[in-house]
Amino acid sequence: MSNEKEFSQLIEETYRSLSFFLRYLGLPEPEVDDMAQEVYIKAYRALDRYDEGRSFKSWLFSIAKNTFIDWTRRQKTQRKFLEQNFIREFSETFEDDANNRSDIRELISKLSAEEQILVELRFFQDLQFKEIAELTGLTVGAVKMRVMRILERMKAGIKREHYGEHL
Amino acid sequence: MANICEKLIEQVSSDSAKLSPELQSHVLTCPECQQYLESIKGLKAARKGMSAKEAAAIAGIVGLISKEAAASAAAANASSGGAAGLFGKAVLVVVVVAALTMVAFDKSSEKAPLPANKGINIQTEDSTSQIGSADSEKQSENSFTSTDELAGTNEADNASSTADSSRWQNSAEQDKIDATNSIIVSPDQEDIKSR
Repeated sequence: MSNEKEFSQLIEETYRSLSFFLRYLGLPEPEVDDMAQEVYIKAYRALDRYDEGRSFKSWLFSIAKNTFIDWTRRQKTQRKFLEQNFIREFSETFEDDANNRSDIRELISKLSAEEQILVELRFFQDLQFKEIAELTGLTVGAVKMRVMRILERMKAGIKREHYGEHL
Repeated sequence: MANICEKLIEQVSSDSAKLSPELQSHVLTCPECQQYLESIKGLKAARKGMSAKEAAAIAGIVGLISKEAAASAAAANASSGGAAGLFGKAVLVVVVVAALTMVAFDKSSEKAPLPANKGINIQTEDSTSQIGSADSEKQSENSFTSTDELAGTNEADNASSTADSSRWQNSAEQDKIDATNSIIVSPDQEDIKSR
């Protein structure tokens, strides 16, 4: 991928996920935009080193992770992850009541930070379980288990709604 | 949960179109899996579009990437044009060197024929320094002086050589006398004598 236009398209597709991933890692809110910019520029400059056999999104997020690690080294301070802030930000990207279905936003806000980032990476970025495990530091089994739980809860919500409609 | 349902969870992501034919046929007969797919569709449908803040951030990054692309393209052009530029520089250097050489030859040819009364034929070192020097008048004067001095020295040398030759003749005569006196004495004999 050497086309500037294609890369711009990719930025549009991944910007939200990347910023949530950086927040999930514990990057303070004021730093998110700057670091996202740094990550994209790094990725653009390193395009010739990108292995075509690998998922581009997975490669981009691994650059983000390394950039974040470098940042924490430079800061020399303990990172503080404010889970409630992350969860609020993430759930706000969902409608309150989309298509007259169950309240997905409420359901999302009840998920843990890890589960929320799994939703983002798995369902909105199509990353594989293995790739998600590498990025989040979880085991592949743990990632699968959490995704199953999320789907169970969502399925239960849909079932309840569907069941309620017929009552 | 059936094994096939777990497979579906593993495969399911953005849309059911990515499911294998086997799983697609399974979904048609499994209400649980249908509900999973419905929940994912619901999740995607509930996602808000890009916010103004996100759009602004993306626009900023895209702008930077465009600048980066333009800069790298300019650098590539400069490097491809660099070969031609290098050739031009080489030609320029050759021309300058040739011009300087010609100027140097012109100057040297002007300075080479020195005035006859300066006596360049006496001292070659001085004449060499005159060719390479810009202030030829002063130098030639110096060389002229030194030639005079040299001429004087020669005269003195000649005088001293006359004295030396008479001295040499005297010493030769003395040697002859010495030789006649010592002719019967070999160095070995002298050694024997000294012992």
